Amino acid sequence: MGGVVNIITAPPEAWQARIRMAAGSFGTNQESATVTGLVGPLTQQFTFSRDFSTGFIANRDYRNLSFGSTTRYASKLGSTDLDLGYADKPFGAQDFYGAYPSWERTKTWYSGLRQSFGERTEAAFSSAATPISLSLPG
Amino acid sequence: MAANIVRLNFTGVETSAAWRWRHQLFDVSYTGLRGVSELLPENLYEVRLQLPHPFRCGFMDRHAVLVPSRLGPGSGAMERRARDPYGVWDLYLARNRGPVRPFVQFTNLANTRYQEILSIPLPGRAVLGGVEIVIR
Repeated sequence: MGGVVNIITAPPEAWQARIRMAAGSFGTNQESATVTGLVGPLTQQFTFSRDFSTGFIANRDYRNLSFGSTTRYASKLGSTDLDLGYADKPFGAQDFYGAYPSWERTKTWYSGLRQSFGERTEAAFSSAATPISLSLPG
Repeated sequence: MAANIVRLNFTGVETSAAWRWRHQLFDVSYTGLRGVSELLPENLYEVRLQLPHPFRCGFMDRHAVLVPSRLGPGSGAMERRARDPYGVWDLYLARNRGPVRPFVQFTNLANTRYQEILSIPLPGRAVLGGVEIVIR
């Protein structure tokens, strides 16, 4: 059984930068930034995100980091979109696999290409690689 | 002893309704899911099944969420087969205009103790505050 979620982002209309910072419970601190630019038919967006926490209990901390890039080019053929992404998520996995501390790390590389042909037709291809590291007490 | 899981069937329904009034958006969604499988063949004493996201592909889950937009409470209620239902309340406040946009987020206001996966506790009451800067 499987499914697909199709996320269609709206094209940017102007240069823009967004910077977000937050802190809170359990030693949480978050930083993210998005920079968007456009020159004629070409638009480019870069994203960065960092989300750390010391955990609400021992060995449930996490240190998430991600980067992304979206490039869009509008032509007579249609819109060409290229998406690239990277995410690194190491986290403590206390009690996930039993009553002892464990640790996981998930890295994801993502790429996607979409080409529209007019308003009613589009073709898309994407790939992702996600190696997972797991550490259990031996 | 390991065993293959065969004839695992999921059936369910997912519905939502949204209403926009001036600058506010109210939406309600409901998801019902029933899972059935033959997990205990005669020659096995126990089969343990752990799914990464039991809410999305679990057994007999019912979940209702009410999430307003800029101001107001968010809440969720979860009920699972053979387990007591529990509710989780969230509150999110944010300024959506201007170059400097502060926000604050409260999660699990009632400090509910719950485990979406058995034996793995989830965080209690928490607060997160920050600011977003928009440069155009």
